[in-house]
Amino acid sequence: MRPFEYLRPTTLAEATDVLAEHGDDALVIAGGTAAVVMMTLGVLRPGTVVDVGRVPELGGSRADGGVLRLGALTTIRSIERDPAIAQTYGLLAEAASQVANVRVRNRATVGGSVCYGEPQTDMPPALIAMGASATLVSSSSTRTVPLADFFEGPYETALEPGELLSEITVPQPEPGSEPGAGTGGCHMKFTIGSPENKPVANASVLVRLDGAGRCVEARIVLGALGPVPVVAVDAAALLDGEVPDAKLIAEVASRAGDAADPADDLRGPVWYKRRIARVLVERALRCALRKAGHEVP
Amino acid sequence: MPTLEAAEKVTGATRYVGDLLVPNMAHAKVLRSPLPHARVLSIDAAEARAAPGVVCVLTRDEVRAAGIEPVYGFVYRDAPLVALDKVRYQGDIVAVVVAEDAAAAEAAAELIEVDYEELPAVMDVEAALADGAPLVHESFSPIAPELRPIEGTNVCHRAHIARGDVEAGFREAYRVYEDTFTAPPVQHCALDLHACIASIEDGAITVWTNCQSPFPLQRELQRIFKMDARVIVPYVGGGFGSKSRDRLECVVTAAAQLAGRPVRLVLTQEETFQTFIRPAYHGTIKTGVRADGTIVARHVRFTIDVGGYAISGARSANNTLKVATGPYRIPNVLVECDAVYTNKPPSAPYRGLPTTQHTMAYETQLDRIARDLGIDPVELRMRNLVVDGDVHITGDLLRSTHAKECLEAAAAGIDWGTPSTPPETPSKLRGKGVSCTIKYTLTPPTRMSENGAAISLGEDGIFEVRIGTVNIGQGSDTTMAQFAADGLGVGLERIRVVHSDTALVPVDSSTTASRSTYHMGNAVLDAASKLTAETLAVASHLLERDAGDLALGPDGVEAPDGPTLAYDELVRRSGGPLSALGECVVGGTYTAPDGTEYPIASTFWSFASAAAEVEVDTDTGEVRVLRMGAASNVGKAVNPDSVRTQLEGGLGMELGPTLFERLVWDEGGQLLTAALMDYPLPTMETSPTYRPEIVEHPFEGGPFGAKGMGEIGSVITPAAVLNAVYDATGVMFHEVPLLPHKVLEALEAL
Amino acid sequence: MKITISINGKREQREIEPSRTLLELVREDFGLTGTKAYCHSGICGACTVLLDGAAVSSCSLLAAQADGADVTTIEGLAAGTTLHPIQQAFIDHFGFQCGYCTPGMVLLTKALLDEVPEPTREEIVRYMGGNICRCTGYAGILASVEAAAKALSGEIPAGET
Ligand SMILES: Cc1cc2nc3c(=O)[nH]c(=O)nc-3n(C[C@H](O)[C@H](O)[C@H](O)COP(=O)(O)OP(=O)(O)OC[C@H]3O[C@@H](n4cnc5c(N)ncnc54)[C@H](O)[C@@H]3O)c2cc1C
Repeated sequence: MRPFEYLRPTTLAEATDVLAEHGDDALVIAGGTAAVVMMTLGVLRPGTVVDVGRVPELGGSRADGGVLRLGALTTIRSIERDPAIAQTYGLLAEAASQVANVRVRNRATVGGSVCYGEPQTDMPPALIAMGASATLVSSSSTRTVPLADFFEGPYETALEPGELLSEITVPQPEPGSEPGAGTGGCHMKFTIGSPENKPVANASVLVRLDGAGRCVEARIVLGALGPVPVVAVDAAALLDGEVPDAKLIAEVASRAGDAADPADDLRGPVWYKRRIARVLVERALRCALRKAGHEVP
Repeated sequence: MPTLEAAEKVTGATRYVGDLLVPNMAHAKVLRSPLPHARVLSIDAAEARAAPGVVCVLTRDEVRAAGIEPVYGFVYRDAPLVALDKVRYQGDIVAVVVAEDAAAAEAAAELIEVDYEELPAVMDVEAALADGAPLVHESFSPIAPELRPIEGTNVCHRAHIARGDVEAGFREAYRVYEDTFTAPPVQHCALDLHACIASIEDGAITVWTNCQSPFPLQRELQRIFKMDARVIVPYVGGGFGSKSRDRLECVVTAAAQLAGRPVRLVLTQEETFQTFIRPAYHGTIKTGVRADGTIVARHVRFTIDVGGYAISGARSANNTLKVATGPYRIPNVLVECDAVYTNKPPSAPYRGLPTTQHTMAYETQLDRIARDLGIDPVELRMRNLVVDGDVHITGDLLRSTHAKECLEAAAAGIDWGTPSTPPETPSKLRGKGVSCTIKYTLTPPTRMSENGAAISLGEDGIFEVRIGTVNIGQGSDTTMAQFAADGLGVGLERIRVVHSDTALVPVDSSTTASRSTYHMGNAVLDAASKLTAETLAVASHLLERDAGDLALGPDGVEAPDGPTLAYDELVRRSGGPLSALGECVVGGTYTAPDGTEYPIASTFWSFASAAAEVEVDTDTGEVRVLRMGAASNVGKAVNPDSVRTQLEGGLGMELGPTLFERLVWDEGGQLLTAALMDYPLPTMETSPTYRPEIVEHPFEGGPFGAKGMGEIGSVITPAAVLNAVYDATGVMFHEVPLLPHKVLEALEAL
Repeated sequence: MKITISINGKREQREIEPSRTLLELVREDFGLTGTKAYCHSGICGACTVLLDGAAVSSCSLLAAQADGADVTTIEGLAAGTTLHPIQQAFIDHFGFQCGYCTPGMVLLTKALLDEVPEPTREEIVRYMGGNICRCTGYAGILASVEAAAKALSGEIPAGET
């Protein structure tokens, strides 16, 4: 690995100051699971590494006022294991449990998993499906960006030089107001070989049903099927106000597959990836509906 | 029983080459070619030499100036230490930078400027065999006498073997089947990265390496540098063939000579993919059968992609001619092969390669035949499998086969004959398949003593067993210690094993091709019996008793009535350690009943079978292997637990290339699957349950009846899985890996 | 820069280049070569160590990031010459051949059993799934982990796994 200057700020203000000062030459590291590997490979050769791992303002997670606030440093492993998250934000826990291997999950942070901007990762689709936003801070400003708008291309995000992601906020899914109504989420991925290899595709689905089993809200987000996560708006809209049956589920899945924008690569040709998108959406949608209290035969 | 070194291994105390330090050692980094085929016009390393921490840079200029032999190779002398005129694959060695630490060497390597003239590349065998294809090598330099290159082409070895009249056989057949087979290259992914340290002191070379063939490497070092050489191989963390031949040691030695101090090189995982790979295999197989399923003729043609250098690849193609028609009694057989240069990395054996690919070819075709003729696949095999007394394609008279017993035992492991339990959803299908194989062991064309083992009794009263076998995980030290202990009649605690140091142990050819147990085992037993005789003779003299009345006991030589002469005391009183050299004589010819003399093609033949049950997801095309049975005739299982582990290991490892592993290059010759992130390996999550069975029939001539089996598990895997997929879906694949999109495509074409 | 780190229970101070990984620190500065390298990308698990009790890949962590932490390597597991029950289980159940992945496998097992003392087979497979072994086909490793869990939970006496 190339030598670099190593800075370890201990407050958020200090962190944004050093970032402002070093600009493009600085690389932020949080868990380091992606950044350190890329430096070892020589893909990244920063002059300065800013380790934000000990900035207290970036740590901690709490649910209050109908919002889950995940400090940027919250590890994927703690999202996976936190019973409070599992109960209300089950989709996040489910996606977290499918990230890489336990060694990576122990270190990887939620901030890193979105700022990395890799199209194949699991957390972005789940977070987008849950309507999450990122808080970005610099020495001079603070702004909030919906995660649906955060990704700009492979390894490219809305982060400006000098900016840090400080927190991700996730609105609590609205609980069903009528008896029998419910919310269900499901994340699935399809990988060839071992799970820590890049997946062919992943899909996050979130549905909310009313007491009559009608779908009041549905979100479908696909990963690894384009340069950025694909929000399958049209496909989800087919569910509006409907009581999903097998035929509708197949239609939704097919429409979601059409929304995908995959590339031909080692993980398969375009037609195959679209097919997998369809299969994953169909399976994840059925699973989400089941969790919401509606089993479709 | 666990291996002798087990406690060392679970505590992390075992030292592999990458863990060794030598005083004053410098660190090397290889500069590699970015292009698959190019002429090297100029190399400017001035800036690199001046970079901080750099000791020296080795390029073709330094190699030429040093007056050493610039080209090396074991069966073909075709690999330059560093690129001389051309580079022949992406990753070919262009220069070596030596610096005070690895990071400095790496940084300086980027400062070297190389001017290339790009040449058209041949990235696969088809391109390499095309009319007017660019030549990877303009001339041929075989050393092994059996190699037959075709001048003016990329074919570096063409060979065939035949028995009977294959065309006549096809004419008499009821039906004839012909299929084409393909398997892409993969890499061995031994976790212990290729590493070596070279040091030259007082005009002699010492190399520490994880190469599996210390003695051939020693000879090569001595030839190139015209100096004495010592090769030390400590524990090796897996090789599977990727370390069967040297690739780096001579280069690093040249760097050490230039640096004037010891130099260490440890490759990265990406670089191991540019060092040795398992070659691409293509073939066609044509088989004629009678209506009752009896095979009457078989013609196999195949090509092996040896890559840019035929350091060892050409010979493995040649060896497997002997097994390409399978463990079947077939009167008319013809096998033809071409080993072909391309602009891929050099190829190396891989746990039985290409017996694995041959087995895939003939066994999948057999299931197609079985279905066509309406015969149960196991039954069809039973009708054709060889039995003792049959004559193989090579002319060898087969004995101790037990191939049918292996098949029955493997099939029973997955409850062959009872249908699979239904999967949880109708979109999944389950099926079962079996496979059988025959494998050779490396055998010299003439009768010779190939392996030596020495045992000495030292002043500490310990029997030291010195063997050339590399301990690569197979537990060879333990097996040999057991042989020595049994042969001497002493306990294991009296035995110490010294392995694979050319200065300390007798010459051995290599630790490859499942050969160590048999060959080294016999040499150890021979040494044990000679040392026993010598020890008793000395004791007889000291005790003034008849040697015939004495015997080796646990702690010393025992007389029937009298006292025990302790081993340490015996050595002290006799004036020094006692020692004996054992050997194993192999090869030669035998006379067939009709009087013909045949060279023995293989000292022993191994037989094995696998059975697999799979589940195919018809939505995604994903194949999961649920469970596997396997059985191998190992002669006598000296250490049954080790045999089972070895079998499971082979089955499990080969599931990777069967299901998802493959190396892919783009049109420009760049490796796309260079890092593990893009090259999945089997994990506990993708692994099935195994039922390995040992078929035990002591083999006459083997040490306590044992024969080798190190590689047999992997050989039988792909065929069993492909046949199970055929059973589940009705789609027969003639290629691996079973990538889900290909499976899905085939299912939909039904 | 200067870091303080506790390695196998011993507090140590070192002056290091910030660009060094924890893997390099452990192997080169402390000579603890039981921690192995292969893929350098967090996949294979040969370099697994415990960082404040959690399994991590030491190849993809700067030594500086471990400043102040407790690091356990394979050398810190046995008590003197007495093997840890997990190590004994790996011996008794043929959880390895060449031994190169073994330090990582043993430490990952330790992390698993510290977290989930009586894991189901599915839990074991999911947790251990990340670490790669090329020799055994994993059957022996699975058996070793199951035996170690039993030994540690007192179901069978240590040493008789
Ligand atoms: C072997 C392996 C397997 C993997 N498999 C999966 C998988 O299956 N699914 C999956 O989703 N992901 C996977 N990943 C990716 C993994 O999710 C990321 O490595 C991880 O989430 C990054 O988090 P980190 O904290 O380690 O980030 P770092 O490695 O520290 O940083 C990653 C990037 O994010 C930037 N960054 C980090 N934090 C911030 C911040 N607060 N503000 C601004 N920029 C920041 C860094 O500058 C850097 O560019 C895998 C990674 C590895 C190494």
